[in-house]
Amino acid sequence: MVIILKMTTACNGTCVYCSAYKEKPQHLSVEVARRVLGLAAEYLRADRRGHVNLILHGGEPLILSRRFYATFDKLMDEQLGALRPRLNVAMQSNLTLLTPAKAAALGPVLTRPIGTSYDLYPEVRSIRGNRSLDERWYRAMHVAREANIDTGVVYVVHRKAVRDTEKVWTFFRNHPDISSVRFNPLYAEGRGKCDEVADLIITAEQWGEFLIRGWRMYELDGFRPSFAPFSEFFAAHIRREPRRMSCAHKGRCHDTHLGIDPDGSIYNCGRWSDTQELCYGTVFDLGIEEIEQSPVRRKLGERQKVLSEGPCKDCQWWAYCHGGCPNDAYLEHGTVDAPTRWCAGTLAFFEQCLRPLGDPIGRGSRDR
Amino acid sequence: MMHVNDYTLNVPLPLAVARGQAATTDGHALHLRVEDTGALVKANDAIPWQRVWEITGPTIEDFALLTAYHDRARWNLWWKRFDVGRLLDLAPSLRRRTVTVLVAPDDPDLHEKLLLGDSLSLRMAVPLTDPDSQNLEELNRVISYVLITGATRPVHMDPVSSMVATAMGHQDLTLWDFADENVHRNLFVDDAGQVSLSARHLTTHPYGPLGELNLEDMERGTSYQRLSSYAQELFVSRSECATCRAYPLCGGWLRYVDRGYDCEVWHLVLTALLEAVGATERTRKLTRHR
Ligand code: SF4
Ligand code: SF4
Ligand code: SF4
Repeated sequence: MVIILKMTTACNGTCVYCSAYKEKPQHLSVEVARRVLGLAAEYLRADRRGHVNLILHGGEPLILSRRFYATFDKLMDEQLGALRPRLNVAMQSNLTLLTPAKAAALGPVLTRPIGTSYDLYPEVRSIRGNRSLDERWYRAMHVAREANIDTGVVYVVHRKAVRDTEKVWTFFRNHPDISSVRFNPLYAEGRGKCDEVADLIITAEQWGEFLIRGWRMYELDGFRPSFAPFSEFFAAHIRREPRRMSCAHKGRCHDTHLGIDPDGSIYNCGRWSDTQELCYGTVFDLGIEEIEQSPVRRKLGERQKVLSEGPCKDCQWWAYCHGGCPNDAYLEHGTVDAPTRWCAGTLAFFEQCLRPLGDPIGRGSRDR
Repeated sequence: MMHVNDYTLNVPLPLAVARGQAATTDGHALHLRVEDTGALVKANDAIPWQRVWEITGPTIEDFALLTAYHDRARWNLWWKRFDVGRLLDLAPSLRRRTVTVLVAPDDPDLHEKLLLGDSLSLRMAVPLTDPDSQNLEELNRVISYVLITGATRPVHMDPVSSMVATAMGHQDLTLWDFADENVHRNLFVDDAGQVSLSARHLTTHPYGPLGELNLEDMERGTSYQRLSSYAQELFVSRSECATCRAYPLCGGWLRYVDRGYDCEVWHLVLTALLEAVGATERTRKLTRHR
């Protein structure tokens, strides 16, 4: 199970397309943190072989103090005890507030890399007070390296990046501090809904164009860079290992993911918490079993049936897509029971790039 | 921060053995530059052999006279006189992993020497000192040769073989390393005892005299900082190098001294190599999983 825990909704960044932006920031309390870790323990007790992947998210989670992370570390012991080795903890952060002292406090908490957002276009990302994010980011990357904290980049693909696909690709491939990148399409949520961002929002066709041109670069580089979703499609299509795909393409997130707000409200994932829709209840009212029985979960789970018997019925690429992320579908169509807005572009990519390398794997395929 | 003994000190033989310098060079691997092999033999007892990693300078003919020293270090030996019979005589002693035969980039017999050396299974190299030191047309020919012949048997022709290893992801060394200009690893000492990154950086990035060298001060100094922050600067400033397809091999080395250096032909040569290796890797992965 993956739990995306919003440590705070506050952020020191002013990225123009931030999907998590909230007018009134809120921080995670010790009570909510204790309850979330209690839920993780409950899950692990019920599933003896399972793991929980906890992603500390935000806002900007590094806004919270060192003391809070020290408390969090104690809470992990208190709530999980001997189960703690089965809890993996990662973080998603803009990294700019990472100091050696904070890295030391995070050391015992984190067991997985920090995913950090980054952009080639300084004009779309900055820190409050119009300060450059870059300078602090590089300093923080150095701190992370010194503290042996691994990092990976999450890149939001906007219109400028589509225009410069090859440049963007090569920049990350060349970058000495970056070994893995996940490219996600920009979508209209939070600040991303503002008029100023309209010029950056991409269409399905532009997402398809980015995937197609990115794949050409991936081929030129001998399929070596660890750049998702390209490496995931390679794993699925060439190595026949569809399990490596991300939540957006596996069609199972209603079973595997949870998003929890600083006030303890439970959603299907961090994106639903940004949207503030389809709330399950709160960590104080629900246990794991109730969450699993939740009508919201059932509704999301039914989406696979609705799509595979409806709009995606004849799609040969179903096993690689599963209709995409339900939150994307909801933002576009007001319902989860529709394919996402990326369908046309994704299909073009499948046909132009993957088809020449072989026919797609069948519906319901497992790893080879 | 690098540790003291991470550096290789490229130093002329007389300085390496001079009294008073030994303390400064303690802890480093030594790369001795030897002009006169007689001097090497004469200084034998004063040379700190346990720290000598590499020796550059003797000719292949000199090497034949130094049999007692063969196993003491790695050797970079000049092949100057194009005498095939003599080479055949010497080949058995040159055919060891610790010996590299150097051919000057402006040697009129460069190509023939490289091919002949390779046919005798010798490790060959054309030293790289600055962007203009390589004959790019020749480099291109060597690349094709290494890629094609190297597919069936081991070929060692540097800097190309090292470039291929980088392109294949076996290492992440770049032109900085091939030119012995890795700021975290290389120190060059001229005959007068002045230290810098390499011979060509002595005036632009001086680190000071060897006798007074303190590594921590050196690493904090302007010259060192300018060199060591260069890669980051290329990315922060979104320079052309940051998005250049040849960067994994070049690392911006071609433009460090002269930011306006016209690297177009180098760029073509390096990207052709990277693409050729990428194509091979692509085919291998596709066939392996099909
Ligand atoms: S809703 Fe979308 S982002 Fe959230 S877990 Fe599901 S697929 Fe992933
Ligand atoms: S590509 Fe389109 S039609 Fe095919 S599964 Fe995805 S959303 Fe459905
Ligand atoms: S080839 Fe030229 S542009 Fe490319 S990395 Fe080297 S110096 Fe920079």
